[in-house]
Amino acid sequence: MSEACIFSSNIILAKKYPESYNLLKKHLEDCCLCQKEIEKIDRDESTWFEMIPCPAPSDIIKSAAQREIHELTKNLIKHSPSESKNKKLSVKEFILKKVLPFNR
Amino acid sequence: MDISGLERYLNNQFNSLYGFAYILVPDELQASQICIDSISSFLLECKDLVSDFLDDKSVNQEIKIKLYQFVYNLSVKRDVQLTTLSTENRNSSFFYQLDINKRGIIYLRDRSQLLLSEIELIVGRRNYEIINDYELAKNLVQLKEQRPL
Repeated sequence: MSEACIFSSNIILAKKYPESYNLLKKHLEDCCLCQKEIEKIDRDESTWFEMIPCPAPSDIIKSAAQREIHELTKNLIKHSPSESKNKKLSVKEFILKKVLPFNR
Repeated sequence: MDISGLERYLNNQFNSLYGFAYILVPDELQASQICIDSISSFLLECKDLVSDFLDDKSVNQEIKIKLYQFVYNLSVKRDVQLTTLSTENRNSSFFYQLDINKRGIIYLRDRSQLLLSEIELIVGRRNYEIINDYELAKNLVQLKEQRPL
């Protein structure tokens, strides 16, 4: 059975919440068993990070997406509230100028 | 901010959204389509957030969470339709053999570095369910893909 320090079980929490584990900091720095455990945890963490895929879009997909996003935001201008307000005004204008004169 | 600012912001978000969509639905075209559909849905359904953004209010993180939410929901729906397609990639890495929820949680937590409360909003589940799924999936992947150091 390999040697272990009783404080090693707190390492993960100490790394996560350093402010709450201030008292342990000095020990973790000095204890060679804890240092070994810290190295192992760091190694495991970086290995774990490598296991998670990180897909990135190809240039073709990126430029196609840029075009699509451009179109979508352009449509946003067309349908913005101020635009529809203008439309409503022009309908009102149309009624006042074109329809009403015939009804009189 | 004007519309071009919004366009720039959405373009900047595209890479991370694509990464998230791809780990959920491992196919280039499907993933990019999901991102576009999500952005489109966001612009249509979240007009308040869009106008807050245009009024220079600091809603960037909120928008990011919303976009992730749309990507997640659309991907879950599409995953059901595309189960045969996903199996192609599942052979290459054990990660893709995990179910879609677990893949999503791992990506959001460890790649996107989001808070647990934000992940709760995106996947629509309780925090203890998320932690449980995350730990379970992490152990499984580490066990299956353990390499000699």
